[in-house]
Amino acid sequence: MRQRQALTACFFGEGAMAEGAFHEAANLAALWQLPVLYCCENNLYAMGTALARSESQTDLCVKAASYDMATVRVDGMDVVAVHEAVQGAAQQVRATGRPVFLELQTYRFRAHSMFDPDLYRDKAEVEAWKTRGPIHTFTARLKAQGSLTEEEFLALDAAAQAEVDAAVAFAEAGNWEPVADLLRDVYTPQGSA
Amino acid sequence: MGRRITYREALREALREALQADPRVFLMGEDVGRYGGTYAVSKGLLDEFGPERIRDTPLSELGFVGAGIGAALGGMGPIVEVMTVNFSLLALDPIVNTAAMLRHMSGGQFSVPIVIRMATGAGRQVAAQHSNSFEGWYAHVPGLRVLAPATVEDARGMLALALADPDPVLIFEHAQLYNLETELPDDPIPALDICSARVRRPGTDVSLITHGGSLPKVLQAAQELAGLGISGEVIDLRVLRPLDDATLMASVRKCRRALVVDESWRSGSLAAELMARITEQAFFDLDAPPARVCSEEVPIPYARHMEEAALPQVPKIVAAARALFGSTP
Ligand SMILES: Cc1ncc(C[n+]2csc(CCOP(=O)(O)OP(=O)(O)O)c2C)c(N)n1
Repeated sequence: MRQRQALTACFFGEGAMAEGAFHEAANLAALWQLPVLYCCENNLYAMGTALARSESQTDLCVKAASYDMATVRVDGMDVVAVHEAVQGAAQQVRATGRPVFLELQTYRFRAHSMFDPDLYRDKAEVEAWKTRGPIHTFTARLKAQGSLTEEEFLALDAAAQAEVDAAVAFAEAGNWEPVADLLRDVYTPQGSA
Repeated sequence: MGRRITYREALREALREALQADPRVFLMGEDVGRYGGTYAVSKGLLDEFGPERIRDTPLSELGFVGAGIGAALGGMGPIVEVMTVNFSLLALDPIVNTAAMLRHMSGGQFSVPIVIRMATGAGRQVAAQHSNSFEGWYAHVPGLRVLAPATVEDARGMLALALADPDPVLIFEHAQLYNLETELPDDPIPALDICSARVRRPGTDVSLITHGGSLPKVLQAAQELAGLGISGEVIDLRVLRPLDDATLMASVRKCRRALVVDESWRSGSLAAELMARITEQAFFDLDAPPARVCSEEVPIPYARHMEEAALPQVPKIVAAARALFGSTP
């Protein structure tokens, strides 16, 4: 209504796609021609529930297409492909003012949470997907192209590690939030909004 | 002879027994099968009973609770597990507008014998959206029976009674209780009901009224109060709807003081309802205004010390009970 050129990117898992909320939203976005980029991270499992046990139609793009929106499927483990696909899809949303559904095919290497015993899938399956880990494959590609030397890679890796270590150290050195602040941020203070 | 058994195992035994006893009974919900249940309650049942009867559902709370209602109407014995009460908000419409009301709206033609189980409560550092205690909301709704097993015995015994009930029954399992362990007799399982409150610790000076995950805290508080010369009578509500006024009022009239402990927020809470009933029915027997300990009115925080500060805790319960006697009892 404000005629802004903005786009809304909306992220969710393939498990969440079975919720009515997705279908209501997809219908509205297509019906009202809203500039929404739906980014579905399809990692094949919703906690312990495999895609085929949660979707009648496991081709998520077919599902989304039924709302009359464009769909794009991309190998979510390929950094360059994801970059291009997102750029293209975002351009399409901006150009048409209509929603686009993007399926990013990926995988979760670890358990769903610290409570998850991870009993519902083969260890071999996990290992096979790990060989496609985007950090390794992208690094290998850059090296093969001659865009990245081993020294540069090690320096990047060390810099990233140092950044994480610094963040952890910062957090560890911080003070606990005072209990006196328990009721903070339940409501917006008068006059601050 | 007795045996040691956890709350979780007791729930599983009850499920197994129900599945064995009646071929119409089945369990469905998110991750009840291959994953083994979010809280490992249904672990092993898929192998034992197969995927027809231990049925993994998509993330579709509105849909599968509705399907459970349909199954109940069609003569099956559905036990629907909604992972936690937090996610049951997506299924409020079928629970409240369909399951609870159908009998009334059909002029008594259709009862809905569904059992819906869900975890409730806070205390595990899983942050606001996973820490709600909404069982009191459900206790607001005519047509529902709302159970809150707080002991291993009730975890073991309530399910069969819920299945035998012709109307919708909601069972709230506090997430902090799953590892609770006690001695249970092998056989027979103690006779229970799903209509009464129970005195978990007799006393004479103050009625300490609670349910679910707060029971262990209140028992602990009663222990500490005893050391201070105050005899607390601990009432476990067990059934949040319909409330067992008789047991409550008998205790309150005897003790003449009442403290309600409820993990939900105080405004518009079950605690508020309990205090209203005490005031309506036992006002002239009271030596002090009824009091309550509830959660602070904030989304339950993630940080451990903040979460602890937000929830009812033993020292708060002890202090609130002592305050009913003035500063020195
Ligand atoms: C309404 C609701 N139901 C259930 C859950 C519990 N839950 C949390 S994450 C999850 C799996 C989600 O799977 P998916 O959408 O595929 O996302 P992923 O975790 O794989 O990224 C479930 C069932 C929840 N948080 N909310």
